[in-house]
Amino acid sequence: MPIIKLEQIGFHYNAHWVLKNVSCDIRKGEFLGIIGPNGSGKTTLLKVIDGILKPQEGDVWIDGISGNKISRNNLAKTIAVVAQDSQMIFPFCVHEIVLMGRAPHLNRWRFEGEADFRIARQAMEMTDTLELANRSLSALSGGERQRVLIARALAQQPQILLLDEPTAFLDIKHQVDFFDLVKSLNKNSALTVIAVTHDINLASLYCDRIILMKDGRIHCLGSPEEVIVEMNIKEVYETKVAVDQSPVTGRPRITLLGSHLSREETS
Amino acid sequence: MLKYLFILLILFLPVVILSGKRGKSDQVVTLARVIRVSFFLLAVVFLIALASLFFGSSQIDAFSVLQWLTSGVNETHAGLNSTNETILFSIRLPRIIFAGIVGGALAAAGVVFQGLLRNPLADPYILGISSGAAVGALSALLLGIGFSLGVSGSAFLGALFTIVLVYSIARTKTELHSTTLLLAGVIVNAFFSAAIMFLIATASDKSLHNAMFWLMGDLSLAQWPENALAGFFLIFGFMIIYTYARHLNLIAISEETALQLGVPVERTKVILLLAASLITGVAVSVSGIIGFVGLIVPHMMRMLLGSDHRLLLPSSVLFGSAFLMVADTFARTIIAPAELPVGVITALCGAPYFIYLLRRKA
Repeated sequence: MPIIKLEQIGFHYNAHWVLKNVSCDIRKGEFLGIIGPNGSGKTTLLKVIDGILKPQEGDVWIDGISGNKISRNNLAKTIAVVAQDSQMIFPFCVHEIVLMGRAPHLNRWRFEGEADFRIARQAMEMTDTLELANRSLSALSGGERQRVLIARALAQQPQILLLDEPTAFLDIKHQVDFFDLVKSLNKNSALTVIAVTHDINLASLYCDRIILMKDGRIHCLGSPEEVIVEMNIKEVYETKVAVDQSPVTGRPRITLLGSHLSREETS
Repeated sequence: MLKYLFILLILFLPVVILSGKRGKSDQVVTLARVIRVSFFLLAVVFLIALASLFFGSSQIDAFSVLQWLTSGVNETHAGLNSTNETILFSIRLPRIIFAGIVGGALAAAGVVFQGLLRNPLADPYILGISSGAAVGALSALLLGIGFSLGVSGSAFLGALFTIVLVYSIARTKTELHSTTLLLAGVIVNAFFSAAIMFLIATASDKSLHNAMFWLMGDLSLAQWPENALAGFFLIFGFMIIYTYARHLNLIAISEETALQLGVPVERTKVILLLAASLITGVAVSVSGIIGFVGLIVPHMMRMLLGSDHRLLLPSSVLFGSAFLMVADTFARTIIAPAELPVGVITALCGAPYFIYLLRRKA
């Protein structure tokens, strides 16, 4: 049984359809990438999976249960989200932030107990953030902050981790560190990962399968080799790229072609 | 003069002690820590209440006060005449307790509004909520609803209406900008202050309190019935708010984060807004508009104790009590035999503090 089943999802804001007839099965333990141009519905799809947006058409099935029948709280025990880094107004420290991941497991008036502290500690160990525990989140670097958010997500003990362009503001070292960490969690803890990203090469490198979206529809879904081909990229992004196989990683690799260069080539 | 220094010392003692402990060990909030800090601040509140009894425009020597305190209320008091006993029990004590209740209420409301709006500069006064509550209370009086519960209820509706109004002015489709929110509050505040002046000017009803009462806040009308009313609603509202304290932590980070972590955000927001408006409305209906308590106190406590609302809420309520008790002690004695409205004192401290926060943020 797929861990997530999307059944003819349609979602619209006012009269504008953002998702149209989206159907797919997401396997337990896979690393799925979602790529596509701006406004193609990637983030909306992620929010529909997480139940934050309710689709007007179709249904989301999480582990065989209809999304409508799962409470917010139970959803938060199954699905964790790490999004782009956003500004935090109040000075919470790292340990407090990670403990917040225990929220879905606690009653409204309960304080965290020994078990919660232990789980938060493990999450910080796994993400290498333990020595940051007493620092204020706003005092950390971008890469450190994203690791803390992963730790919070792990403290939720989810089966599914959703990533919404989590490395948008990171340099390449921290991008790779971040995805390495997620990949190891994916492999070692059988965590299902769904990552929205703009970086096609990153998606190619880490994902088992990739969804390429265009205008709210799934343009194609398959392995990186199947999806990342010149034809698909050109159709969806309406720009010329060259795709070859990286001699180092063996994964498909895209090269952007500026129009000034291609003109020289043709002349 | 020495007396004033002494009471200020008691007020700032917890600030010094709590700041010394900060950062030394794990800052995570536990139930034990909440209880420890609360009892400590409660002791400070008692000390300040006690010290405030010694202040007043009629001279009662310290020895008599102590004698009255130690003898118990129902006994006969040798050495203390009945006038002095009346002053202590029927004038000073209810007013001191009243200042404590109102201060705690305003601080609690400040914490909730700051957390919900994710804006450390939010405060019932700056957002215009207090003015809205005052208009509500005045309208009730003008309509002839004389009983205090009716006036408080009307003030509550005024507060609730104002926060919804300010929020919808400031909110664009997707975002809630900090500066827009404050500007909306300023404008609404200006409008309602004008409305208050208008209502007072046109009213012939002598039962209306004087203009000063509503515009600058005044605790001189404190009597035991007002205390009972305000105290009841403060405790009631606080208990509701406190059960949502951990949810408020998550909403203070972002509403989307809260949703992702399983918080029913809309319901929580509505309940917290209702409770904070109730507390503000009741406080305003009995004491007029006292500004900046809900700004200064939560901010100081956040610097000392961190942002976790499970600790921030009780500590702000207690320190707010202590703060307003001291402010009112100054207000009623510093130009004796005349009195200042307590809002003058809080504004004189609060406005510069607000500017400091604004500049520091930029």
